[in-house]
Amino acid sequence: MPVLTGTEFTAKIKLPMSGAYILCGEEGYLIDYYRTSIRKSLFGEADDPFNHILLDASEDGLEHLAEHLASPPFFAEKKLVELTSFDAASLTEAKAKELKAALESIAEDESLLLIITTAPDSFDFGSVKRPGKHQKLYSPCASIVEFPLESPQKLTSWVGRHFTSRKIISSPELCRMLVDRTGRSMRALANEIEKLCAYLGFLKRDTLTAEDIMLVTCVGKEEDPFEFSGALLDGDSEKSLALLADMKARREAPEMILAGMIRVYCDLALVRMLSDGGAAKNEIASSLKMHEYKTGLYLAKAREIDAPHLKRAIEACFETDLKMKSTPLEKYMLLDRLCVMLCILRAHAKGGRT
Amino acid sequence: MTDNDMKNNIRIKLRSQIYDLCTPELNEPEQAFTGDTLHFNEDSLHRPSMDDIIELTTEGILIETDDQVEIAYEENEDMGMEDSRTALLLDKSNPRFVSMVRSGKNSTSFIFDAENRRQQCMYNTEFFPIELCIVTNSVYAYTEGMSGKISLDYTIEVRGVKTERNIMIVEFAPLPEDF
Repeated sequence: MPVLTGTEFTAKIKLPMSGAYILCGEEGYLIDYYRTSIRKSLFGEADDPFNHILLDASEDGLEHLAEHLASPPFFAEKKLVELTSFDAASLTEAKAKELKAALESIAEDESLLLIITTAPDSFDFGSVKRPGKHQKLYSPCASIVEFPLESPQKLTSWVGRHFTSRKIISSPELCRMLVDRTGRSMRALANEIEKLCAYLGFLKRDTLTAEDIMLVTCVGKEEDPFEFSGALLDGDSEKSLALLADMKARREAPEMILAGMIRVYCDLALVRMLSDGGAAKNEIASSLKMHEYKTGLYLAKAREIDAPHLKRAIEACFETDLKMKSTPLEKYMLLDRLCVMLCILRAHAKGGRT
Repeated sequence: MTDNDMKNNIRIKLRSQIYDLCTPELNEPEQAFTGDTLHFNEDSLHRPSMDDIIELTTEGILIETDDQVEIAYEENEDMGMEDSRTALLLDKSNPRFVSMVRSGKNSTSFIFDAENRRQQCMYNTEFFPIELCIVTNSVYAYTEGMSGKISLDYTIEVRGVKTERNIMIVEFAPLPEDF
């Protein structure tokens, strides 16, 4: 089955569709937009509860998928089954096989359309040239469509079109200013456009100004998955605490943040252990199933930190994990303390002290 | 607004209950409104841990356009919000989406959306702007002619810390003839 770009998929939904599609990627706004478009093209504004089945994989949706795919449409030409929050990474091998079999079973069935949307960061797409694990696994039995974040240029014109459709006069410069300020998430941009239109409508104005953008909209921060671990490994307490505060503001689960921190130090320890045992970079990358670039970064850091410091950092993570799960102490406060502790340890390691 | 838009004087009754978010019994977000979300749980009015109740009856205007209904009123001087004007904008096609815009020294633009519940918003004070996260627990707007009701239940977060929960009911109706 082909791997489609968003544009190819747009063309596809204008034609009768059938089979299985997996929609993945960071741009959840577009995924939701296309889901709604497909639903409307099949059933119009009114939903058809007999032929539109909505399953949530984070609950027991996956368990019921096969039975819904097995039954034909009910007095209609087409049946749409949607499976949301699909977490490919958490699936056991047996469950993945079952899912593949279910997807293969509808490949030739023109009366069934299955749309699977993935949970954030749960589907390893890789790229078209270098397919990721899940793309390789599911592409033989489903069409996979990736929706990455759009470029600022595309978003600028998209923002402009939105303002025009709401009868608000804006300039490309102001639209670009909004994109730069809010970030590349289309959902965040749509919300800010909505607020600006409401604000201007209330003031009975039809022209957007830079002051309006500054007054009404919030500064959005794009997440860099390696920025926090990078700051910790550099011992940059100011930056790591600021990044932690951002994660707190987004109310990211403290347990997940801690898991990320533990992963960094455990990976670092493993890289160091293998390196001390004489393994080369490519051997380490292959045995830990880690990207070579990341292995290289970890290897450089591991050489800077001696084993006792690494051990102490992992112990500090372990103690925090224990406290988080067994005491009523405020979880974010525990993370703040761990962050400072790790940065102090790193500073000591840099200074050559133990 | 165009010449075709309908503009009417209305009476607005606003009741807002503000809770300190250490209040344990309000940790479950769907408690205040039940069923169709306009059905308010009256028992919650008498909770001893409630921090503040604000009741306001005022005159305002209702402007109806093709796709939205705007309820606008002047804020109360006693609340420290003199020279401020607030508008609630109701989307005719979606009763679970309400925008709130305020002009004046505490200008802001909030969105209450049942689908995208977390919304980052700026609240401009006369000293400095504050970035808030409005988390909508429930929102429902109902209009029929010049009357209607809006129920809002939302939590305010500042830098990830829940600060307060506000349960607000706004009822509006045409002004009586002799008012």
